[in-house]
Amino acid sequence: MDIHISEKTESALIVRIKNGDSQSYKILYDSYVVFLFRFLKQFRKSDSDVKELVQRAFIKAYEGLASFNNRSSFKTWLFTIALNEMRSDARRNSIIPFVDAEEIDEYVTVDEEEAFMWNSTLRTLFEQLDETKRIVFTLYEVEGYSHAEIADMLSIGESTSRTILTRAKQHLRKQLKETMRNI
Amino acid sequence: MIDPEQFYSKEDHPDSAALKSIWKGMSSRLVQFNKSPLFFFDRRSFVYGMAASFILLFTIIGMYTTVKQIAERSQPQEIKTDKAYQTAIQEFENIVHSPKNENVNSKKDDRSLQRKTRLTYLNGAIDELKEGLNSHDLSPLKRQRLIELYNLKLTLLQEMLQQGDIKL
Repeated sequence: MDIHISEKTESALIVRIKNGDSQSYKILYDSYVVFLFRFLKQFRKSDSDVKELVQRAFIKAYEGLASFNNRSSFKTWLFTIALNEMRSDARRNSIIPFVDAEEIDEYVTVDEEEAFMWNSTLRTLFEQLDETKRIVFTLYEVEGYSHAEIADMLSIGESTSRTILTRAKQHLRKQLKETMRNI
Repeated sequence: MIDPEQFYSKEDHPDSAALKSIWKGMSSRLVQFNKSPLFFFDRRSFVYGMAASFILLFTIIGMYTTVKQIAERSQPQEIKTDKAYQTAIQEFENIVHSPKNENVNSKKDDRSLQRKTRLTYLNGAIDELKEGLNSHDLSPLKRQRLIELYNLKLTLLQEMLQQGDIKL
């Protein structure tokens, strides 16, 4: 179902949609819906919650398309909207704060390029991380966004993004060691 | 970087039914860009628009009534009296068959015809005097004359009703 479209095609589609061809939005939807769904599935266990979030993100993206200026890709913009929606829900339901200020008060230097050999153990440990760490980790390590882009998407500082990622990795590494020791 | 295909499990991916239902749920809410606002219909906006129109209408009516009442209250006694007479005569004429429209040729008797002729003259005299007076003219003599004419007209109408020239 997912279609890969080039940057040029994406821009052309957006121009067509802005000119009144709303059917072209289906192509954008088909291109990015799976990416967004599987990303959001990391933070919401219920499929219906994820579906609802995906729907809201696509509708808001469409409604705001007139102000979309191609500064980022449509996918990045869509992810940003979805994350904002998730953040609004968290605020509305008084869930944990999106970024925990206590945890990001210092800059920690750890090799960001250190690769993780992804496996089922790490998956279990990943699910134990708090939401902010999971978001930054997934955006950086899986989706390939830079810290500058993540900072823009989450409305945080670039250094904050680095620190959150480092903390997440430290936590995963520590938990992995303990798990291995127990085995 | 972790390979997304390795990171995301099969359960993280939506099935085609889910994708269809998401699109179905949102496609109707995608309003076409550049669509002429004349042909654009949004139910929520329509309801809000109607509600706002009613509120505006009631506000205007309320304001008009208030201003009218204030204006009426601030009018001089002479004008209030004039209006009261006019209203009394008008209401009297409304509940009886209009004497103006009575068939003069029916001629019950000469007196009836005389009363009708007097009424015609009285109406003419009232109209003539009122033409010379604007609503803010407080000339006491003219006002007094007008009140006398109103009184005469009321008395005449009463007499015509009693004599059967006009019917309820």
